[in-house]
Amino acid sequence: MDQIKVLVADDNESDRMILSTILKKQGHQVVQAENGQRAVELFTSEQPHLVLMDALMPEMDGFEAARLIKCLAGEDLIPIIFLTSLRDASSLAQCLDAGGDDFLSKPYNRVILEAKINAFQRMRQMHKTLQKQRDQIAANNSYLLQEQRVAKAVFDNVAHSGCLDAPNIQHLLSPLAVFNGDVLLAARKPSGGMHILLGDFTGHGLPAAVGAMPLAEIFYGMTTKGFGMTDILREINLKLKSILPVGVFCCAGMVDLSFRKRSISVWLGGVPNCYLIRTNGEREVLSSNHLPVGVLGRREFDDTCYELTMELGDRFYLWSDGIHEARNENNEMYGEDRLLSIIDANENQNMLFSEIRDDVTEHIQNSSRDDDITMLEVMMVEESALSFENAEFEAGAVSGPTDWSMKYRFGAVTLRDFNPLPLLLHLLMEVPGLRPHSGTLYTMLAELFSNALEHGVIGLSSRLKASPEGFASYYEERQKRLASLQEGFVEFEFVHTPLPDGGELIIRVMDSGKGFNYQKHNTNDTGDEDFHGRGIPLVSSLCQNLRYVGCGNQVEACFEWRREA
Amino acid sequence: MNDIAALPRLDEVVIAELKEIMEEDFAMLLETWLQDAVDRVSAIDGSFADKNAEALREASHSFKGSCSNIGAARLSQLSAVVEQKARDGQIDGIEDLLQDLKSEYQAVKVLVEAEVSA
Amino acid sequence: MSIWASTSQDGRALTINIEGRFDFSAHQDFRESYEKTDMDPDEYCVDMKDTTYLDSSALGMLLLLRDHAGGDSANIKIVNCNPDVKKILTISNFEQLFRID
Repeated sequence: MDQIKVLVADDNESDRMILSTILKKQGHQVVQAENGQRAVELFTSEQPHLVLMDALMPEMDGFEAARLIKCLAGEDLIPIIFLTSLRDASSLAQCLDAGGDDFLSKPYNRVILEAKINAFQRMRQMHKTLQKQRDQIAANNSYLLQEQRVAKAVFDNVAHSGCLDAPNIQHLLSPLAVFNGDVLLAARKPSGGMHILLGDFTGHGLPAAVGAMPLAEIFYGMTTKGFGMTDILREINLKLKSILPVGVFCCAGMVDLSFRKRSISVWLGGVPNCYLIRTNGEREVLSSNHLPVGVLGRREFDDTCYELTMELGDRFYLWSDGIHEARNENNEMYGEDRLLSIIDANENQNMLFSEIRDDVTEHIQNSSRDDDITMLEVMMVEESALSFENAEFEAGAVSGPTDWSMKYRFGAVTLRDFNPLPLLLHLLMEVPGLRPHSGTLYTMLAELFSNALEHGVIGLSSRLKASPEGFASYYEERQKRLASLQEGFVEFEFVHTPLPDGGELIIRVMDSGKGFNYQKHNTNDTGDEDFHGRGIPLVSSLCQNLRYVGCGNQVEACFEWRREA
Repeated sequence: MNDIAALPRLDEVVIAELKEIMEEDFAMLLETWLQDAVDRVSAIDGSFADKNAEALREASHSFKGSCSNIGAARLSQLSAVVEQKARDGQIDGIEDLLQDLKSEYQAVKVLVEAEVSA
Repeated sequence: MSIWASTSQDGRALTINIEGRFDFSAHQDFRESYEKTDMDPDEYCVDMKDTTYLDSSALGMLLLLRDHAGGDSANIKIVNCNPDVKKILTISNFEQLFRID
């Protein structure tokens, strides 16, 4: 055991001498006081680790001195051992009341004294370790809280934002912790509609909140750029699937609201039944028919939506399972039945949202919540009823590049291993009106490019692909010819012209090949394999007009888009 | 009082242990005790004369402790009896008890002085 | 909450029983129930006859089991679900990934 400093307070000099000698022999440093008053003074000036205190002393007795010393010691552990030959219970109790930790009776026994000092030493060490750890934890905790506050500010900006304050939306978010697993996003579309997404990540807290960041990024980024709901859902699904560990996913409901068409598209994956409530009180129940996002791969993901008309004043309700699973003090869940009975009892639809909220709140009144409660009501209104805060959307939708044209020519070296499609698509996506059609345009560009490259530049016949063996050798040959490509080109020309209610895009693709006899194809003779092999019927079906010109090495596709009506 | 008579006047075991602990300071310890004892005994006398039970209790309590520490078991026990009487407030008619205490003190004093000069 | 697993006599099927609430607190036990077996079962059965409740983290755990059992080629059935449990599995459309009897 380490040496310590011991304060001995006893008015009896011979007793003090004996005790001090024993302590010194055990290697400790000793400070002596002949009364309580002096003991308190020496405690302050000498800061001993242990106090041996006689109970009855002149000036100030041991009880009073012990009380003052305990007070001065604060949260440091300074054991006080009373030196007493008092035997009666009430005197001993008085020692304990004064803050005494133990007793040592006269005549002194050095073995017992040593044992007690050692025991208190261990206790002091433990107390010190504990204090240090506690301070460390407190420091860490305050650091963590600070971090969380900052992170929450960021999270709130990202996850609970957009146009949630629009006059046709009412929403409720009750965070379980600093972070919760629920995400509620709403954004105006450049074309005038509105996208709303409610997400509930597996679990709670930080791990659940992390996935919300990319989700919100994609939601706002793509909505602003004019992408459609299904494109956004596919992108979110893919992103979450690739970044979240297996077993973490996001139950989600997404809504695409069109004020002009008075319609609503709804995609539901893993959220409880949602209701569309008409002004006449009729209710349509929409059940979740998809797996949550982040579970399935690109190919398995299903973007089928419910399509419904929605008249002025109709309301759509979307929620996470937090409402249904909210428990009361008897551990009963709120459940869909309670929800439906509130809806059935409703008399004024303007009050329904708050009636549901209040009923759920009352239900869980005296219990600790164990899920995040998130709910949203969105109502069909005249578009003019919404103040369009993000005016730049509308401006962007109309302006953007409208009357422009460009040519992009890819030479032989580039064609060997460069895929120009993302670059070309990116250029087209600068036109806000084309963004909802990104999928279609990509398919068109991809088909036209591969025709130009494979049949034109490197002169492969699509007839080869007719048999399974031919199919394999086709791609083998393609690879070989591309690798050694020395000359040739593919040229894209885009011409975009504004129309009164949209725009027209002409895509011309020309290649360095020798062309083909397209005359009979332009007359829609569909019996020719060469024609079929080129995916031409597919492209034709996607655009307004498709025709081959020149010697067949040029093709022109016309794609028209309209602003959402 | 028979119990008290059975106790050692000056416990040789305690003395031997004190010698071991105090080493060269042993004589000084006993001298200190002797000086201290004079004050304690006169305090006991004085507080009894003043009929001050509380002062008598404190003095006898303190003397009891220091006696026990040097092995004066009988004297310590006599002090304890005085302390108890004083605590109970029954200090009338304890003259004989105090006389016993004082004669025991004289006897112990002789033995202690002998130890000092040994 | 307690979880135990039993293997069929031929060692080809592993049955996992879940008693009580199946939520995040079951995470470790559930994982161990299929990871700590020497067998390489062809078939898994999650028996929920004593399962009172299931939350979204339990759904996540089922996906982990599916991954462990071979992902898309996993052969897992979930049996004896009470109506509450079944409802949660249905809302999440888990019948697309598991056989739910």
